[in-house]
Amino acid sequence: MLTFILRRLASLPLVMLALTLLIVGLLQFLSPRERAASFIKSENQMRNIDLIIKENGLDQPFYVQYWKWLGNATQGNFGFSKASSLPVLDTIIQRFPATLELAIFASLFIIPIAVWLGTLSALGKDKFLDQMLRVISVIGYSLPVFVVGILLLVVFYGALGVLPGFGRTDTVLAITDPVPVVTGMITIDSILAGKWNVLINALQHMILPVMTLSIIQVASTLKVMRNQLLDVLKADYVRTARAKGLSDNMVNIKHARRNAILPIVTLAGFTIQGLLSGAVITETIFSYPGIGSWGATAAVQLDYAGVMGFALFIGVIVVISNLVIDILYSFFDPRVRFD
Amino acid sequence: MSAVTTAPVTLTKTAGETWWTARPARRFRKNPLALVGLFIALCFTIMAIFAPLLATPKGNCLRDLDVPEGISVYNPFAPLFWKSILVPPQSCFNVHRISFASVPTPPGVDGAILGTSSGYDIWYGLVWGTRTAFQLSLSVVIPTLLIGIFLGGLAGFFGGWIDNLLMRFVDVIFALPGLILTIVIVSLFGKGLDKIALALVLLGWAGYARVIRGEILKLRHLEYIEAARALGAGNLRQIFRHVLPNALTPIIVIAVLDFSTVPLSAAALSFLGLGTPPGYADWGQMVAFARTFIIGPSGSPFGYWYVSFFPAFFILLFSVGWNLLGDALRDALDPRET
Repeated sequence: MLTFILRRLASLPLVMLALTLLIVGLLQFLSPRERAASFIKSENQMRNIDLIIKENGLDQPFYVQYWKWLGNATQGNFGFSKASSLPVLDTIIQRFPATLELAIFASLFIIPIAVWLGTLSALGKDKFLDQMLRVISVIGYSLPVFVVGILLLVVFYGALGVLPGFGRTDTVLAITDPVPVVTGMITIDSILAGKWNVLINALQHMILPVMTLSIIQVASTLKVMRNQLLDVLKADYVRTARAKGLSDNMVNIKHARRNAILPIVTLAGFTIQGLLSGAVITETIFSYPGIGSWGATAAVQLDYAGVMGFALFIGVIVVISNLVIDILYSFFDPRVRFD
Repeated sequence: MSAVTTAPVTLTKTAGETWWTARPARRFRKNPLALVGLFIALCFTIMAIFAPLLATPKGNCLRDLDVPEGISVYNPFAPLFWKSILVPPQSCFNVHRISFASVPTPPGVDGAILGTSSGYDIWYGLVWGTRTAFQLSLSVVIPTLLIGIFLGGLAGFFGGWIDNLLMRFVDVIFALPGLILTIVIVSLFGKGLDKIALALVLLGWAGYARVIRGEILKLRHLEYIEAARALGAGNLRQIFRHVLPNALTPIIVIAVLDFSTVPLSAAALSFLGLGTPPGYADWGQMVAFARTFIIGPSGSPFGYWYVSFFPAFFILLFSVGWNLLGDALRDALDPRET
């Protein structure tokens, strides 16, 4: 167990190396002049592009550039993002809490709802509710994120006018009643500051983006849950439990469902990836100031420093979360042995 | 005691059995969802092929077809019919603009069946957008399939350092969410549907390669391959006659599912603004248009529903259809299912 964790941890720098090589390598498709753009912060510098190329060694061979990039990166210098008019690292620090907040709220809904509906569906196999849920699930995971977002906006914001559509809080509220930034997550910050009106407003703003992020994930997780539970229900020990005279409820919930939930843990990796790529589109639709909407703007504005910093950051999150999930899984399931 | 064999399960072939009466086809026909999926997929295919008949060319498109205004394309004996279906000029993909109004007009006005958004005919955009989606699917799925099979086959059959190198590369591709890596590559190459297709090919082969490698690793040690080798079959004959045909089933299913995911990923990128110039018949852009008209005119907040509803419905129907078809194929082709 311990050796497994240590070995996985040891592989982390290797994966990071590959990831940074990929990102810096992709940049080589651009000419030195185009790459120089990520070093420009003011108009004055525009006149000295050749100087910038010389100073940063942008015309040097790849390994020199990579070494230089690595040196800068270890000092927290990932270039300047045009899209946010801030250095890349500052942008990430400023915007990531908003994305994290959305992802946390979304995952609070995804797993419980998917497990609950998946159980209902499997226990009533081929009954009306199961058929309904299967159709809804197919529709759910077929829907592209941007279509879900637009439809929700049209119905709840446009037609019914019951929910706010854009931003983290009302613009007026952000100006008249600013919340001091502590964690960057506005719900927590507003609780810390005791500003309940901001909290309620922020929560209202989060409903539609969180729904957009959750619907697709729930649909796909629900399907896996249903199939897992159906497999487990056929197992010998479930039959034994029934033969012993245990109540249906006891067998279904305590014996069967517990074992069916385990594979859902492995799905968590996919959920995190889904939430991160979903964030790009969701945040763009709802003008939500997280890193996803920044990544999208950076791509559209051809802000290479921004795009690469964004991709690298997402890559790091995915790699680390996969590692954590692997380790967690070996704790949850004693049958899993790694050697 | 019966002899233990690792050869693929021999299917009892009854005399006169064709693919139509074989088990997968029978299983497919019995599944109502499969038939619904097939029907929807066929409808979209027909719509893509016969786009010029469903949304007739107008304006620049007619001019580039070298015909005056007022001549119909419906006559199958005229060369115009075939020309517009087989090689429509690029200008036909520009959505016909009925007016230059700044607000949408409802369905039925000025001959726009589904209304217009900023003067762009929604029906025209959706029909030709289907054609765009199919062009994209074909130009992405076929190359990814070939590259994936080739590289996956190389890795699986020869193993060793080729395998190691390719699979580590695949690992790195899978370390990032697909959409984000596609965004990175598209932003490097520049905007446009062709760049999106290129990015999707560059990343898409990895999935196929991994699956085909896994299948080959599973198959190559089976006895029937050994038997083929013992009978003197060369590497190529083993690969093409014995290994690949048995490894293809999961690949076919992924390819069918990719047929719907490819245009949808492209639509998502297009929605973000990395796709086509304004006015090109493309689903992502039509939804992006809808974003401008979320709130209706004053007094009727739901007034512009058709701008977002029709494109969303089209995309959903397309995606559900192909997903049902793909799932059903997977179930039908799975030999373990009874």
